Amino acid sequence: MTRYISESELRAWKNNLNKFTIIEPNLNVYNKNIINKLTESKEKETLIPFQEALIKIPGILNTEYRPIFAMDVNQIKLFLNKTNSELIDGDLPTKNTRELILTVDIMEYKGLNIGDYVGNSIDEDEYLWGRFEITGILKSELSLGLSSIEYFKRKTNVDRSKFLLFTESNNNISNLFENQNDYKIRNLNSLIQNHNEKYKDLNRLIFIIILVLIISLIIISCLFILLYLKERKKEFAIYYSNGIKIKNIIIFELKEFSILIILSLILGVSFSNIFLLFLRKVLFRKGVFLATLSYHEYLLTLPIALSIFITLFFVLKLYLKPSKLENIILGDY
Amino acid sequence: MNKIQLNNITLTRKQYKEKLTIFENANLEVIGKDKIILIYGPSGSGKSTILNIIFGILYPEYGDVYINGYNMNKINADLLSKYRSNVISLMFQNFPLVGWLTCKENILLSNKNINKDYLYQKLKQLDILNAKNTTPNKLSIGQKQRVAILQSIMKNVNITLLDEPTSALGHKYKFEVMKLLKEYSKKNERMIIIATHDNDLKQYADVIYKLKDKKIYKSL
Repeated sequence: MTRYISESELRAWKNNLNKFTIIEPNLNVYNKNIINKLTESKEKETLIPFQEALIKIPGILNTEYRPIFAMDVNQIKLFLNKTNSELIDGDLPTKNTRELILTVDIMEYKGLNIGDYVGNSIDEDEYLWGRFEITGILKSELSLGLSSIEYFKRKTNVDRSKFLLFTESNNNISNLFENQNDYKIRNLNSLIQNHNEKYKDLNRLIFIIILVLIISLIIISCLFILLYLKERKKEFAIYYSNGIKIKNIIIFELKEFSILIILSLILGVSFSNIFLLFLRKVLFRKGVFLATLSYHEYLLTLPIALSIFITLFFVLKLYLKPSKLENIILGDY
Repeated sequence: MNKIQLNNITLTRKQYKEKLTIFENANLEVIGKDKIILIYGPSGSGKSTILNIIFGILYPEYGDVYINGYNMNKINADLLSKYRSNVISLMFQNFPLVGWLTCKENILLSNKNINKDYLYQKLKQLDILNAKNTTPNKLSIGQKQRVAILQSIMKNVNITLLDEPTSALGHKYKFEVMKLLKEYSKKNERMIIIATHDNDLKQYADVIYKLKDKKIYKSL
């Protein structure tokens, strides 16, 4: 849960920055210079000037945000085309208006419909200033809103723009600029780097907690094995007295535990997914809950399974000795 | 034909920090296939020790032990496993049963190919048919002992060793058990060796060995 909350910025930007790079010129850099440079570059494909704001959506324990890009209305269609997005209902924003289109996910998280208004005039906790009317819904892999740039310029009193850059390849865009201090480049790499840097300590703490958890589980599992085998030692002694080799008893037990471990893994993973589904669909129905179990989480179960198996093997080797089994069967235990 | 030979065996055991000699140059030779052999003697005379030597749990310090061609002094783990699987079964004095298995399952542990009708018939003969699906911890000690006897004799082997098989049984079941063992021995050509201090069992024995003064004497 903690990791999930810390990743809210990643969720806001990851899919978006997978499609484009954002270039933010510093104050001393003229927009014209950057346009010229990128126009001359072989790397360029499409360059869309924009200004940005944020819109609030409900999280689980915190509030998340998603970006609103304000651009020339003539370029909104181009943006939709470049990001494989589609207007599925309503109309695009018109020039010089406070109209807004939002992706389906944001509409659902906020419980909005076309014709509704958003902005801090409606909800004072809203990040988006003023009052915007929703005129359309977008179907997209991205999670964002689009609006006309004129109102933004008026509101911010800033004529300068940032740039959305769609490139042909995934080459490092920073190579295009002589003086990299003049520009701030936001792409997927910088997003992940910033995130890792920002939450370095938290990630370390989570790692330690997981490690302690795994070690505790291993200890509990091993104690369980010890108790379990202690309960069954009489049975093993009977097998042994019936002529079954110790080696075969060990193999039999390892097979039995393998089945138990595999069944536990399948059941554990199934229950975890059902639990996540319950969280997503029932408990946090109106919040943003996109957490899924990745192969990283599944991999964490392997050390537990492996240590159970190794412990079992050594405990069996220790318990199943002829003299011990004979003592059990003779009643000297 | 089964052949059991204990030649000049000497065996000592530690008891209360003292070395106690159980056998000193003792000899035993038993030959036969469908006999009831009684090892008779008072408590502590070494009856169970003989069974444990024959079963391959205890080894004498001196002397040789040969059972159906197996040299027990030189037997290795593989051969011992083979020997216990194919030649011999032993019902221990404390008749251990697996607590979480039913009586029927406990008996099947020794031989899973037993004919069910035959098994039920024997269970009925020993008056424990109703307990077939019950776990041992819900049975009386006498019922447990009868289950353990069936477990030992149902194993498909040539020799069955029973250590005090009637110790927890009343008169009625004691004789019922002996009758069953006698029938079983004849019908299945099984040598059954019983260690006991119970005089009543002598009437069922084909051969009796007495333990006295650290030696084994044939008395019948």
